[in-house]
Amino acid sequence: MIDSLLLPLCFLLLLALLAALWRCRNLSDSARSNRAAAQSLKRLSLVASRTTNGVVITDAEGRVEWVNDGFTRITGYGLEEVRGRKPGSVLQGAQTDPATVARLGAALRRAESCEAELLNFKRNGQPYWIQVSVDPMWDEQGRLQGFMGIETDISARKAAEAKLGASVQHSQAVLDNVIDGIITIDGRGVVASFNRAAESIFGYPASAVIGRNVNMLMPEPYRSEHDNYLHNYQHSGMARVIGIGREVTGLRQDGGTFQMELSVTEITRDEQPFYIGLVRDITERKRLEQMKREFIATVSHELRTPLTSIRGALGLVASGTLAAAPEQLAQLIGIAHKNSERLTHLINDLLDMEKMAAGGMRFDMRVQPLMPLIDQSLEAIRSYGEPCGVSFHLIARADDVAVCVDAQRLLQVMANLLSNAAKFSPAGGEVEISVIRHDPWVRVAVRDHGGGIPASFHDQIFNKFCQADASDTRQSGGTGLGLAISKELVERMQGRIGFESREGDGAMFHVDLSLARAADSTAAVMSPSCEIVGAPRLLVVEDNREVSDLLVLMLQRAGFNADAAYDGTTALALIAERSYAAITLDLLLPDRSGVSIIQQLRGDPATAQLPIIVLSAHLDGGRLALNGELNAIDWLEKPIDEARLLASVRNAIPRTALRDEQARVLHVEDDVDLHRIVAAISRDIAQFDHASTLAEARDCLQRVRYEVVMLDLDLPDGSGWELVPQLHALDPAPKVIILSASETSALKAESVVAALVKSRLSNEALLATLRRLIQ
Amino acid sequence: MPQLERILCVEDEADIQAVIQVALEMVGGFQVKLCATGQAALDAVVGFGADLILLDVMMPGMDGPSTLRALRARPDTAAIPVIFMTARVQPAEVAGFMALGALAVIAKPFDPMTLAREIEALWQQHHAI
Repeated sequence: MIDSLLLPLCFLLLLALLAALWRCRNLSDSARSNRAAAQSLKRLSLVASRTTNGVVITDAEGRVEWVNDGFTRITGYGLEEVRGRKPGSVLQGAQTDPATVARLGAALRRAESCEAELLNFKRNGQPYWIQVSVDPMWDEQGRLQGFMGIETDISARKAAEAKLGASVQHSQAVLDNVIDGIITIDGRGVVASFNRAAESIFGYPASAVIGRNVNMLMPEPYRSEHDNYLHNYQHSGMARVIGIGREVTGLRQDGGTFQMELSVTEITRDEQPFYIGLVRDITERKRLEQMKREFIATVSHELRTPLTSIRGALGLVASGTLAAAPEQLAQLIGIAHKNSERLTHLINDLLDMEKMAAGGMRFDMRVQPLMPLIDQSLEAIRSYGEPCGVSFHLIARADDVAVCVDAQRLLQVMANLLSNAAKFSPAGGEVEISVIRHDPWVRVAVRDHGGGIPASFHDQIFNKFCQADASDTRQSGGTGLGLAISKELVERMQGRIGFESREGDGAMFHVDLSLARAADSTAAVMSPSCEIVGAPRLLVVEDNREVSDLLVLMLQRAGFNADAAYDGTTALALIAERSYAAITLDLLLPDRSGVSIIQQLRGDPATAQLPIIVLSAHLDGGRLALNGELNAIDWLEKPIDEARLLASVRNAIPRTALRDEQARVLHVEDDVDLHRIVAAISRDIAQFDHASTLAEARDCLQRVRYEVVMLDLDLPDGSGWELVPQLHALDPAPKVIILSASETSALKAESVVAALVKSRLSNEALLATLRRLIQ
Repeated sequence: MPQLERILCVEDEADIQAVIQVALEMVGGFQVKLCATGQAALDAVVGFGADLILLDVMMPGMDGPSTLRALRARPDTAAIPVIFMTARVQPAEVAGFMALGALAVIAKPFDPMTLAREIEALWQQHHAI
């Protein structure tokens, strides 16, 4: 780039000379001075024409008298196009900064020199940035002759500046949003930068830290050590932190200290060392590690205790020491046996907790009457409680109540509550159980008259291994996990658990379960499972029983009620009887095509708005695999919006097709004019074939492989829908864009959604789509 | 060297009490007194004439370390050697128990056939010093 400041200055000089000569053009004493002048003029003209800068000479009013080739190259305007006009009127545009223009104008009016950066427009309308310096020209009498403007095209520089600015903004955004604190310091430890995360970790705004020594962020003794450390490092090159990462203590603005993980790297900038520190607040991590350590210590203690008895007892038995002491032999064997049981329970409980935490526990939730389960748990506990003389009384029943629970797990909860009550009851004591309905809940309560739970334990009662009075429960073989597990189980079954107790006054534990309506047994096709009161109801239309069951289960787990229909006729009958929020529909049904069902539903005003999700599912290794055998169907309403059409077609065409060759699109449309319009709109991105009937379309499909098929629903020999199964059978299946005809235009595209899901749809995506439709 | 004859065992778990009793009486030939709490032990130790105390760590009420401190605070019991028995055997914990002045820490679960021998050996070490 040769346009530095120096160059314009040289030209100023040269052109001043040129101007002078220009003025002198009519003065000539002798032919020799004429010739010399002409020669200089010629040379200067050559220079003026060769320079890449644009030069404009105007008269005193600012109207162009002369421009050089450089000007024409830059702006696209020749001399004749601009002569007599003001440069501004030709070159400036709407986006030229008015303030700059005003400043230039003012300078010109005062006949002063001026410099500016300006946005101009070329002849072809293209904008470009120039740096222009304008100077007035005076004659010997001091009168204003005109102005000279020298322009340098700085578009490239401006573009680079903008890009740099964007890049800086981007880097700053990254720095601002990173979770770890990033602090940079120079070789003396002075903080050069301090990102947002660092601000929130340490509690200082960046302004309070930048420029100060980084050791303000450290407590003693690290603070004093840090300067030494930096100094030693710089002189010895030995790193103790650099590149290694360490756990150190940080000092917050409020004076508090905390554990942090620090890693430091060194960079060189302008030949100076800088250090970039990454800070992560590990207080939380440390806390979790500590909790884990405590838990492991507690569990290992809990496990070792019964093991001590087992090992001790069996060791003695095995040694033969007790050969002559049969009573003691029997006692020790009994001890070993009892503690083996205890250990088993403990380990089972631990595993249960782990399984629940990891989400691995399967609940077999069924609607069933509640009382039989309560009666069953009472029978079981009576054999346990009898020896201590503890008696159990059911003081209130609710025989008309059904709940949606996993029977096994509910029994486990009841066993825990009842055995706790027995353990804490005095000998000969009584435990009362009541089942009372409080719509929409039913409450099962277990009340004992033992020592009660001290207030200090009320918060921890459901924690693992919390035992208010360790000796009592240990003697009776408690694991310390019973209540923790019960709470988890109850909550998984959508219930609540709680208690009331005062020290000395016993305790009452209660479990609240949601009432359920027993499943309607008349519809043979309905799954036997629960009904969740108030949840939206969906119909799953799928003939494969296993797949249907799994789909229903998945929907129920997600909080929906779901019915199943195994064929089209039943599906339609159910839809007529009950109100569904949405249906999932397999296109291939035994008695009629899914497509015909969609048509029938759409044709009936009562169901025209029913959201339908066309879904094809099969079992893959015992799990549900949702597949789109058809790729996304897009809906376009007529009259066609050009932009929307282009976007649809573009989206539908696979990228590879766009790159390599023109994609082929089949447009099935009986309106020829419409076809022409659509083809014209999309001519740049695809090659269009036209079919005006279903028969023609089928023909085309057999001969050519299409990436996209655009379907009009109203065809002379049928509906575009009928083509869908054939499209689905193709491999690879083309993407489908449906141009919805006038009778369906009343329906909004969203609410109709025959949403054909893309291949390998996740369950989450299906559920999300369902939820969106139902809102 | 005085003979080790009477051992006071402080342990709240009844099953473990039974095992210790057999291990020390039948296998070791010692006289054993069992207490289920630290307080009971403090009350019984002098009357029983314990030569050595086997002390569980995790007990309701007074735990092992508290019981040891109480023993050390009384002139008539301060000199009786104490061995801790515990399932809490993380290194830091063991160091803590030793720092309280225990003679040793025996881990649970223990081997009932060697318990008596181990305790005897510790007794001899203690008196050899």
